[in-house]
Amino acid sequence: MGSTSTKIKLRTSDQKVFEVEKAVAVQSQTIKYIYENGCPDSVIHVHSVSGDILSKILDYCKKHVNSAAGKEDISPEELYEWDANFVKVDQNTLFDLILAANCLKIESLLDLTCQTVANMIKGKRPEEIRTTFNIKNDYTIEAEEAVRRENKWAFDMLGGVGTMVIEELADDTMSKCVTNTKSRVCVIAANQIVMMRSISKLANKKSIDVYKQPQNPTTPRIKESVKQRNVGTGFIELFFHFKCKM
Amino acid sequence: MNQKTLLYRSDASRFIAFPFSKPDGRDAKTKSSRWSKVSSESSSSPTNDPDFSALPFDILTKIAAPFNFPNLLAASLVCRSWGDALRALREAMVLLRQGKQFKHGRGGVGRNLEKALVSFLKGAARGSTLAMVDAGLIYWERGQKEEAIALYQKAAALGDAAGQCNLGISYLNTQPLNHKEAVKWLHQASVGGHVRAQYQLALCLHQGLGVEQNLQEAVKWYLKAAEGGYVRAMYNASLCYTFGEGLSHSRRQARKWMKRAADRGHGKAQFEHGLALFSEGELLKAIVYLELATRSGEAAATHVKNAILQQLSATSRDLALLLTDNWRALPSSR
Repeated sequence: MGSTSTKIKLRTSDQKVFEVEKAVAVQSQTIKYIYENGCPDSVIHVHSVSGDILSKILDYCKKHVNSAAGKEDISPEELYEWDANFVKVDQNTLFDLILAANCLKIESLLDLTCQTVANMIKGKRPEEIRTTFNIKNDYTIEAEEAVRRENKWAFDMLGGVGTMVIEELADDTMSKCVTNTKSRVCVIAANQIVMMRSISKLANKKSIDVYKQPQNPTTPRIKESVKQRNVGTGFIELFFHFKCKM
Repeated sequence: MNQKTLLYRSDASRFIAFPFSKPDGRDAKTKSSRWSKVSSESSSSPTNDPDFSALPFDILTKIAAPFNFPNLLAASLVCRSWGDALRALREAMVLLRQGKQFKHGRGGVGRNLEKALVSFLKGAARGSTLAMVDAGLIYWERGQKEEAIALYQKAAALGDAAGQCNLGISYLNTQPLNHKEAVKWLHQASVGGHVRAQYQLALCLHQGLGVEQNLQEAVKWYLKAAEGGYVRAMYNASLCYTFGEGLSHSRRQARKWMKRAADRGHGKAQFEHGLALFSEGELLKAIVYLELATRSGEAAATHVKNAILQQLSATSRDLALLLTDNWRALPSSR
């Protein structure tokens, strides 16, 4: 019996027992530690993970072990695709996977799930994030203001950091440009500097988005390439390059 | 004090990371791990709904590590526990901004690379991958390549596309060369949309570095990078169309991409485009591009340009010179 066929038993929180190859199980650093320092013969308890989640996790570990060892003929792109499909699960499962990967210390799975959540957060407003994850807003108005105030400097620093709405940009004119700080904006369209305009504060606009042609309500906001140059305290020249609406 | 600050929704799930009594590496966790010291009465949260607001702080920090400021702020404003978890990262943003000011000499401070590096490293210590990448850049420029690579590795592991791209490029440039790793990281960054990484990946596929030579894939990535505004990719894409490498010949597409590259300042592209215009009889435009190419350093362009100049009248020559002087490159993503 070579060590390659050693099996490890894992018992989950709902009393299911899984028997897996050692190579697959020790993808989890926690299990590896216990196996090497504790009781190799009896069953390892994984209290915090349920049977369904553990079975999914073991699928993941098996796939990655096999592909790394060359047992399965799978290219990096295919593995990447497989991973992408692996995390297309409902939120319950995703949440459980994250916590389980964290406590079992399976680094690649934790990276994968964290990336998934990160992509679900990026580009959204707080309200939208709350809807996506079904989170209740427990901020008081004062507390929320405090967070915004502590970072007020960032609102003043647009360009590459913030986002700008430029609606209805026709070929030679810029009809509306709204921001809540003082900035001068150079809009370059078709290699011609069309307009420089200083922009003053406008109430109630907290974020400003650049829409790229064609504008489609379902596509997410896309930020065009933006270059920024400081031309003195408080003024930033912003160069946008994007196609004009005609 | 506001009573409301104590009413956290604390879940048993927040402490789920310590199922075993054996000590694990968690003791050595970095400063970014902050656990809420407030334990209030645990509300009976429904067992079936995942409570994302109760995600452990270190996981949230990991998720938000590659965020830029707007995303970070939006995430912080979702709910209180997220706001608390991400406080360290917000501090990192302040340090990042400080570092950039020192690096470029903005906002009333003089250019000071050492102070910039210090700020970036502090930001990196708080977990921001953007700070890690910037610190890595400074190390790289100084020649301290190992430190730079270490920082890029940290950033890349957290999913930062720029970190992954830089890591891939550094594996292509340092001894010992490691093409396979480079391609792996470039691929990750490319899939994440990083334009420069897409170009570099295309180069590797084109030349068969670290991966089997695959012209179709290479052209696919050249085109992606070109659409993203990378000038060299536009030039290469044009060449691929001209020679039919990896896709079918298309003079039209080749011309289109060559023109785009030329408009953005690519010397060789300007030369080629000038030649193409000349062959179509557009002498004035051809001269402009050939002159631009000469100024970019293309020696070959000078000969052709002079030959064509003979055919033009003096006023045309002056006009051509005027147009060239007034020409400005279109913006690109380098």
